[in-house]
Amino acid sequence: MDKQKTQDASVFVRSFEQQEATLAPSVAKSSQFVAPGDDILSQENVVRGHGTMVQGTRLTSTVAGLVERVNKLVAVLPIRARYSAEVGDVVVGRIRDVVSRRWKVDVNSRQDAVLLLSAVNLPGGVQRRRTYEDELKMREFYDQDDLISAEVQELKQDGLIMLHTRSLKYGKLENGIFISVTAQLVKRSKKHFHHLPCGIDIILGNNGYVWIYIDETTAYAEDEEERTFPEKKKSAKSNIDQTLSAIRIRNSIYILDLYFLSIQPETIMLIYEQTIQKEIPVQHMLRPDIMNDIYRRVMNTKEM
Amino acid sequence: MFAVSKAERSYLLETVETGTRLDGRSLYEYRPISLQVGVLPSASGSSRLRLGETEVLVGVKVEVGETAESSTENVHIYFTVECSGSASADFLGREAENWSSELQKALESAYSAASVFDDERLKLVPGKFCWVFKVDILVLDTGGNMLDAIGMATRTALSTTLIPRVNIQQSEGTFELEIDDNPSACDNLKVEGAPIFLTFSLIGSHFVLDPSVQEETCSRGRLSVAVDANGDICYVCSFGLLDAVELARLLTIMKKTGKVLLDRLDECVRNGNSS
Repeated sequence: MDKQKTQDASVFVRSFEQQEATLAPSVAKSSQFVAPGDDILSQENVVRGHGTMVQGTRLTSTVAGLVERVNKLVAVLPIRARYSAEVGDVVVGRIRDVVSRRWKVDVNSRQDAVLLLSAVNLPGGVQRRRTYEDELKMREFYDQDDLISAEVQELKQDGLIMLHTRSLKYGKLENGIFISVTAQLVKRSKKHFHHLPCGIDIILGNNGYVWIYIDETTAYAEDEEERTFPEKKKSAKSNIDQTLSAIRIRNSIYILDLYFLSIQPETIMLIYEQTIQKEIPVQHMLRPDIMNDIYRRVMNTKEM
Repeated sequence: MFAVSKAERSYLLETVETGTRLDGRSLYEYRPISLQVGVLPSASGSSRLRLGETEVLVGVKVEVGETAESSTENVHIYFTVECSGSASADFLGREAENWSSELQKALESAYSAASVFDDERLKLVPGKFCWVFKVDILVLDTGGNMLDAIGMATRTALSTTLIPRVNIQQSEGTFELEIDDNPSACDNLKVEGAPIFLTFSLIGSHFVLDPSVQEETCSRGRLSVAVDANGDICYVCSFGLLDAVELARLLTIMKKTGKVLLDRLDECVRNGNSS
């Protein structure tokens, strides 16, 4: 029986267990952490901000999060919430709909973002007014369900997010894996396009959408013309290796998301290296016992 | 509807060609399963099961009911599948009804084909009284492959179901049933014959076991099979054009994986009960 168990790994069953506290203890213990309905300790005459509610004479929280005070303003920043955009954010989005002169893009926000036809680079890079013909060709640029990377150009008064892809690094995403994580785990930074040491590229969207891909163009010259026509010359063997690394990266990000750890190239590589070191095959990475083991080891080796 | 772009689809197809899947699993591998039994104190038997992102809750209610005189069955079993609208956008509107009736039908035909309740202890009065099992299934979350999750959860819920002892007294052609009040005077239901489902999706030219939502969306065919502990197939449901040669190869996989899966589930239930 036991022998058979080790041999056949196609099925893994376990009972539900209390998952380890996913929040770092320092956060959970701090007095600034509140749950919905908790009193927010504050002095008289405060200005109430987002995530708070006045109940009688008390000021209570409406979300689970950290209390933030700016002078008299008291607000609660939720630890898990939909993405709230800021101008300049790099996002990964999925086209929801093609409507007149604009695309509706799902960016994990409260409402769909808008990408105007005039906010994309036309093929060939010419700058001109968008004509009716361009409008008819919109589905050839980005079709429904396509994934794109873009930048937040503007936030309208009512919260509408306007995107643009007016740069060579933005545009349609191909040859890779998509994974969605908690948006709060991706910090705003200078760089969101990363080339990882294992030869895999990732785009960490500020909105919690992550694209893991193999950039075939980096291997060739940075020449414009070649960039648009990447050649597939790689041998099948190296392709499989690359795919496996990409999946390993995907699973590493999944583990980080599950344990509510910050998602950065460094943390991803920490998990990645740990699984390589322990010689854990990709297919076993997502088993709860192994994930727990990896998590413990990583937490012991380095403060995250 | 789950959205998959053309680029993602082609990458998934390429990856499956090489024998792995986008979450690292091999082609004939289940996602990790989490299981809990006895979650509903008011039910005769219950279980909660999580398969990847799919989560279901099953409760079994046991009653004594009257039966037609021609019937020789000990047990009437009824399945109700409820797809909660909060689980998936696919369940909005009338779509939920289609899903539930499809899943109910699969369960009903699989359980009627497999002789699950051939237990002498379940006999009441043939042709007069029989047990009525009402199995209520609630889909809490969807992440692909609902049928397999439901099948496993139903089986484990049934395996923990307690049947009260009944004294039958006969007087002048009428039967009096007296159910034992003592809560400890119960028998465990034997479910060795209860089937579980194995679902394959056809992606490109390969079959993959336990498809995720993304894989289901990209598949061009589907095959669901119910197997019992002997590896006998008691229900088949397919969709799309499937290759006969490939099917023959799947047969051995089904029997082997089905057996392992059943063993693991039973083992987990035993461990859960003892601790």
